[in-house]
Amino acid sequence: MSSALRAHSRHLLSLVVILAGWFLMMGQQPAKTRVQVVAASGDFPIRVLSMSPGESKVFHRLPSGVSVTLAVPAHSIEVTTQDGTVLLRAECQVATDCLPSSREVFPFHLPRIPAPASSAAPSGSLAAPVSSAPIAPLPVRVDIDDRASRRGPLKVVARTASGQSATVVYEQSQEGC
Amino acid sequence: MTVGAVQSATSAQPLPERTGTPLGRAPGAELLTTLPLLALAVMAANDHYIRIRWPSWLTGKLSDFAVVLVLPFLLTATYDYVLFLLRAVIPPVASRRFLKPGLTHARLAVSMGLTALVLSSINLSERCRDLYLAFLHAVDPFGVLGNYKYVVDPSDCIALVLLPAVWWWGQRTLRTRPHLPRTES
Repeated sequence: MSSALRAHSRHLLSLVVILAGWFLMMGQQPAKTRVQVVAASGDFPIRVLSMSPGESKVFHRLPSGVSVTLAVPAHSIEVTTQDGTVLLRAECQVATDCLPSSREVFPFHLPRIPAPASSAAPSGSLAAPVSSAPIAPLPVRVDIDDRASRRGPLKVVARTASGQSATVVYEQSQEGC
Repeated sequence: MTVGAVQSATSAQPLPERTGTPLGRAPGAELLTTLPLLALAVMAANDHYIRIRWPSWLTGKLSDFAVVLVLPFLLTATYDYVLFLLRAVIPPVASRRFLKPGLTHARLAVSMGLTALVLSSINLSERCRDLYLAFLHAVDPFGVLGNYKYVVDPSDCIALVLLPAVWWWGQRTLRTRPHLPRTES
């Protein structure tokens, strides 16, 4: 009797695991997000993720409930002049839950290009001149327009202390989740 | 009774022919072994927590690796269970050689081939991806498990490097439990 019961239990367990396996397998989809730059404007160009208008990239699944983020680890942001000179290149260090609240400074650090000692920027403030002599120090603040991004495209705005600004608008589409 | 006890109890006498009686070995028992179960657990944890909490290239690939470790055993186990049900309904099918229950080298090889074929095709060809999505929609027409979408990503094929591990585990399972546990004496 107990042997039969054990056998039936084992059959049932096997069936449950098989069904759970298919359930997980069908639900398992490499969810990714395509991010496309749809517009860029301003007094100087900024390029986040080294992407240009019209260009798109695919990212792995973003946190559920967070509709917009660019916080894939180790992506970079570049601020360049119109003639292509790199003013600033920084890497985003944040992994998730990283979409800053509205108007908050996007937390960057500058691991690759050390800023001059006189103008070294604290982590998180994004102020760093990174090119050589001809370029004057240009503190740049980058804001993520979170409110816009929750329902629509992500807007990244960079501002200099002198009031110059540049905007990049990203469009996201969930392709795999 | 543990598996070891079952094996020691049966080792003194010749194993009876695999008849696949309803109370015999559990159909699809190869799925109830450590590697596939561990991979299933990793897949569940990654899909529902890890890669949501820490999205990255690594967590994005983790489930692909788990799929490669699970799918071959899931295919053979499903086949075995279908045979089990068939035998219950139509007993004569048990006499046919290719319908015998249990994991075999041939079934393992075929399931590994299918895994490689499916995973690589849907990650290399948009047409194959579309066929795969059509299949999913046909199996789940009401979208109970979600709105099926899939991004073709050739880098996902890197997970296929784990296929030798699947073969090794399958061989190990066949070697250590040649007929898989029986519960009848």
